[in-house]
Amino acid sequence: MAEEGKAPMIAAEFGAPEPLIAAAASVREREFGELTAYTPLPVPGLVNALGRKPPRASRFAIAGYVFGIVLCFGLICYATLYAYPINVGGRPLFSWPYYIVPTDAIGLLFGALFLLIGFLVMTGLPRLHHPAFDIPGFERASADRFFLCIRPESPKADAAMVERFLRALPNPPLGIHRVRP
Amino acid sequence: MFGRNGRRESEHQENVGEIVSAIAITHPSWKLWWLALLGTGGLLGLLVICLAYLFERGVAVWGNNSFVVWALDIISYDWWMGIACGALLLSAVFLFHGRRGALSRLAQAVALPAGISAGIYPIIHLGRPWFFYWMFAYPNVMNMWPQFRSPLFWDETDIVGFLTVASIFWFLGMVPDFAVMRDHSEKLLRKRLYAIAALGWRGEASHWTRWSQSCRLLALLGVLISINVQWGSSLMYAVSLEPGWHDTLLPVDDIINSIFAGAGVIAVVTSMVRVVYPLRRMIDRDELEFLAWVLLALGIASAFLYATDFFFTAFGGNSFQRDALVHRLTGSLSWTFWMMVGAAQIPVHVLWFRRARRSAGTLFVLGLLVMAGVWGDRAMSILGPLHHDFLPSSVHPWHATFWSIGTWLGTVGIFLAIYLLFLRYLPVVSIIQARQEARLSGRYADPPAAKSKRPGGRLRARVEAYRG
Repeated sequence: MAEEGKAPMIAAEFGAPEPLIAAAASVREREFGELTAYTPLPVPGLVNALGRKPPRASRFAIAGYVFGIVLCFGLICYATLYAYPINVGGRPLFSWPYYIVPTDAIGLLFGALFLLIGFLVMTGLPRLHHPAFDIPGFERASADRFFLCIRPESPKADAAMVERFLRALPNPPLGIHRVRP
Repeated sequence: MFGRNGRRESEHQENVGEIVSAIAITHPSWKLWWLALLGTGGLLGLLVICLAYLFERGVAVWGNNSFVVWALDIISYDWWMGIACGALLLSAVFLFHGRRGALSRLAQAVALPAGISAGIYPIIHLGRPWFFYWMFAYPNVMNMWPQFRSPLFWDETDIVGFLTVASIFWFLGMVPDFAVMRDHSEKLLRKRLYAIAALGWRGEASHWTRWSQSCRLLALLGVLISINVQWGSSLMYAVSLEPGWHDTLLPVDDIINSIFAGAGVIAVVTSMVRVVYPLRRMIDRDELEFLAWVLLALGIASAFLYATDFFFTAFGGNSFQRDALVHRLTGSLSWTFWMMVGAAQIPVHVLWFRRARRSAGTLFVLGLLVMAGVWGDRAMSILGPLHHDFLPSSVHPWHATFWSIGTWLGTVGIFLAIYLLFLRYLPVVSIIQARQEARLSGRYADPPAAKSKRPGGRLRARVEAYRG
């Protein structure tokens, strides 16, 4: 699956999150290329160290909730006022207090649904394979290893130089692997 | 915290994943599990027989009559839904608490099967259950719409909403755990199945933040839908004309007692899992004590609500309400009231003693008592007004039948079947949360087993080492 002409990805393996964060910060200063990290548990501050903005998942939930309440309340109003107006015990046709419980429930339903869809779309999951799984020993990324991956893109950074830089860190990685993209 | 001794702590991290995965992979206590599944199969068989008879003869086989139109069907529905809402709400609270990963997953796993057990009732209690889809608003050749002002429609949206939120909350929380189990599995089929469930999770940094945020948001949605369902159900009572179904205390009463029931089920499940599985390090006595305080607090809140109801009715209520109260305490169904007081509200006070709070056996028994007690509460609030209405002519007795009790036992079977499958194949404890807790507190110090090169290796030995 190797594409011609692309630089190999360099994966540095760490045994703890702190050296990973330190390494990410110093690699980022040198602007070697695109950085990603794989860890067995959420590491606070890692996303910032990698130079990314933390995502805001709440907008999906809010959008879903608003969509749900508009949909449900609108549907009920359309049905009870226009499509199928029916007088039950002299109650007004637009008896909105009766609509609140289902409207809220459907709003929450769509909030959760949008959140799940948003999560899948933004993370690109589900996915059958990813180049990261080619890193030797990557199954330990779900157990006790922390991987920092660098894809050298800038012309001044070749793979050997990145490796030298990583080895010279105060907390050097336990191992360095090269993976074909 | 990591740094120099980082390697040492990372060993513990790996450990948590191994212990929890090992439960699904090596299946400790499998004899007990099969025995339980066999019993559950019996209950499910009973459910099939009861439903067949019900569909053949109609809802009168449950003993429902023209006055007591809702009997064990709605009592059981309310009871299950209370357990489901309480468990979902508590699991969200445990998640927000941040240090209760073990309890949170066990509680989440209660919510969905309890919701399903509740969800079959609104379908089977219809006169013609095969037309249950008429409750939904969908385009149809009859040009008809459902009656949106009817509690039947509210029930249906509540259940669908609840089940959606609960299942997404449960599933999304397990995705990284599935990845851990995928990497610990050695058999190809098992590995592939966990890999599919893990959605190709690879632990990327930005995925982690998104996952944590989504889980917390789903927990919040879970709290909101639980409150909606419980308050909605008290509104459903309030739109009828029966005495005792219009008090403004009812929504509070419903939500507190449902959380109480949920806590009872969580206590039962947690103490059982602690005894059966090698998880004593994760579900330790501090965990039990935390749960005990929750139970005690809810028991006091529940008793306080009963007392408030008594004082308001006795000193301020009208004569019909007073009559309903007297009937509740002394009438033919007074055993339901005394069941709540005697089985749930009084016994929880044993938890003032430290030894009781830290004993799995006490929590197990108390949890069962609380479940029974809240069942009594639901029976009291539904049967009481129905069989003892305003008019003397509407006073009519009600007796449970074999078929109504059989159906209820069958729904217990549904719950147990799903829960047993969860205990067998899914991560019983949130591996990720347990790791985070271990990182924060170093609680799982001194792992007894040696480090192995392959993550899946020597699991059985390690399970044995953790037992005890």
